[in-house]
Amino acid sequence: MFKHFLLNRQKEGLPIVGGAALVAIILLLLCGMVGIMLVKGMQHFWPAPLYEVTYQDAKGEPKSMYASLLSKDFTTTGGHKRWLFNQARLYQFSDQQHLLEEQQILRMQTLPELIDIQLRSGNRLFARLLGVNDGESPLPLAQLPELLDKVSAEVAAISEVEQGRLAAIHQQIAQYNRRAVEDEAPARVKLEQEFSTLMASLDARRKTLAQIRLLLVFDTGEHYHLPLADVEKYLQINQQGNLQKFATFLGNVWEFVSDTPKRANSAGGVFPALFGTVVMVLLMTVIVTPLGVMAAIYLNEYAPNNSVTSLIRIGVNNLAGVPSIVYGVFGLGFFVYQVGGNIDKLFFSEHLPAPTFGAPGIFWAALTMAMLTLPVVIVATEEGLRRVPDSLRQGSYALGATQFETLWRTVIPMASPGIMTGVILAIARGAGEVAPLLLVGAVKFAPTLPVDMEFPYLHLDRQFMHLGVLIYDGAFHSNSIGHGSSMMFASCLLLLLVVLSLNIVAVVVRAKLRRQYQAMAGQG
Amino acid sequence: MFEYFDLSRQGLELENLQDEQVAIDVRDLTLTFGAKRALHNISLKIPKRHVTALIGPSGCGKSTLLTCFNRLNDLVPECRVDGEVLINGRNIYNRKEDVALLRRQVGMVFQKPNPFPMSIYENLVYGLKIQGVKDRRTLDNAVEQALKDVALWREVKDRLFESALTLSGGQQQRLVIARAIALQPEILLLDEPTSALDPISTLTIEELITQLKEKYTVLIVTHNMQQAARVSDFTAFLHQGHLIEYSDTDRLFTRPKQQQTEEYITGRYG
Repeated sequence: MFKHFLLNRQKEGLPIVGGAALVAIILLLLCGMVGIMLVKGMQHFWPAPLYEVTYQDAKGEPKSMYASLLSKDFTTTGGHKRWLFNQARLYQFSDQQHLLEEQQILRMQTLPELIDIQLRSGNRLFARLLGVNDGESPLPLAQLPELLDKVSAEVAAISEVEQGRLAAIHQQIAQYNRRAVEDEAPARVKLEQEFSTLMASLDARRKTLAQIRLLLVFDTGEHYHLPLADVEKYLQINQQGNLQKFATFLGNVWEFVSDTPKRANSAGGVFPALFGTVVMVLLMTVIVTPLGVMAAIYLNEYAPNNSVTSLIRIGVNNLAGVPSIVYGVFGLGFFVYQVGGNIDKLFFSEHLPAPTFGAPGIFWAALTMAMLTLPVVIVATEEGLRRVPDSLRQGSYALGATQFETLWRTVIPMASPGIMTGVILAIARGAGEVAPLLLVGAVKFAPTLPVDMEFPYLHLDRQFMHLGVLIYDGAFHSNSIGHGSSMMFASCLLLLLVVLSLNIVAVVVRAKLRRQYQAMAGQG
Repeated sequence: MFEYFDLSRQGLELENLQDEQVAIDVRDLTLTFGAKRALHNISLKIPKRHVTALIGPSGCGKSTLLTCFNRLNDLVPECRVDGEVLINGRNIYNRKEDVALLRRQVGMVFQKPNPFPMSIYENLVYGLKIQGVKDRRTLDNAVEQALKDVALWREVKDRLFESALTLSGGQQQRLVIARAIALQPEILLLDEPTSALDPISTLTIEELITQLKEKYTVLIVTHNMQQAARVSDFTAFLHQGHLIEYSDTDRLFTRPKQQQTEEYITGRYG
């Protein structure tokens, strides 16, 4: 009896328990994924202390280096733990990773005078700060922040003059040269005089600036006078309390989302990539929504119910399964070379052989992604159209509306939640794809943004940066093991946030539409 | 018997209708869905400004006949119509017929209330806006007049811009009738307008129908024979696509000529 009962219970309970377990596993995976991105990504922003590490080198002699600790158990071979350090030195292009066996390490000290300096050239260096002086006498270290502000302001002022008046004079003189204006012409003489006085004054200002220097000691023991004008910012991490560290952390996060990448995308910010991703996805949405909606309307409302229509439907569904790289190749072959090449021949022939639209760019990328996400929009919109009750269509026809008027005034507004579902799915897919973008317009580094203040403001022919491409690049092309990858995790986190926020906007819009049309959809 | 004579107040006899008294003149109408015949050689004259009921068992073709009058059956694929339907002396199945114009002339209300998911006001001006009427005052007047005609004005005048879906079922059905009236049609087709409503709402609609005939020709399809007897002046009985009997309502219900009619109205089948 009991056995029978148990058997029955199992028969009924198993699918439910199994289903619940599966859901739990999926949730766990999702949380795990976001959690890892969160932890690893946040590590990129949290300031790590700087150490003076004293260790035995291969010959057994003690050496020291200034470094931050990345990981205490990087790899364990034969029971030896190896620690991974991050070093930044003046003449190195990027941070260097340094592995030490645990027993090599003799001493680690967090000296308060250790300083992490970011140079205007993009380089970074760790050193000990001994003092500041203005060429004659030392200045108190407490004044360093104000001093740096003053120097930065002066640097900015100088570059303003250089790019403003000086550049204008330069151009004017070049124009005179082209027009072969005589050297003795009074206008020209006057201009050249102004040029030399300006240059002289700038030189003098630069010289005074260069007098203010930081006195540093590197871990090699070398003393160095670093002009403060070369310093973009500095961080004395070992002197910071937790609150200050948190402020530094927030500053780092802000820099990450607002600044341009530095040192081959291994430091600095990802703003161009963030911007490029959002612009590309928005462009894609603008292209794919009308195309998909029109296709769905044709299929659902106009197309006769025959084998050709069902063949088209099968085709649409299969398009959704085509690997994304195929779309990339299609985009390159058709949009970039064929369409772009012909546009160049027709409208931009004066620029040829330099291509305008015949090269990968953000418009082709958006168009390719639109092709990729088209099936999703079509299927979701058709679903939405099918849900509009026929009684409403008839009601509209009975009032003298034509088929188009019925569609425009009644059916499409009521199907709009379905359309929004398609748009949401398209955004989710479009924002995450990398492979096709590599072929049709996304690059590792783009000098300009696709949108700026210059006419026509939106530059469809420009190449752009993309978060996904940046992650791909960080994962495979970085020469540093630790730092590049922590930036990669941070970029991943940002990409997740971008997709999430774009989706939230779309979901809110859909909820609003649903509320408006809910009661009717329930009836149908 | 006394009642019968009293109720022949119209003084209209179907056999002797003048041309100007005819709203719809159906001549030898045959309708097929693909290979299936739904209506067989139907001929009848619907008098102007009266209520005519179409009754018959389910599937007899009464709703199909109704949709012939505003050509809503054009939407049904494989539907073919032979014969003539004359409205104002014009065959609406001629090739040049402007169907949108016809449907403004011949309004239709369906079994289930189908207000659009918009405000009450937007529902009422839907047809007018499609005609291109933009003048706010014209639209406002049309809305007020239509709502007064269906006795809904006092109930909704303060909430014209709320969603029409917030109305009750009976109110929705009156709104839908008002929506058709706003276009000032000549003919109103009502396809079982009360079958989805409660008894009180049904009563309201029935009262409304008897008022509507002062301005419009009303055709009503109904399952409910009491309703047909209550509201209609003339009744046509259809069975399996054939018009069995057509006469004024009181005669059809009291002295049916055909045996099939008698069996149906006495509830022996149907």
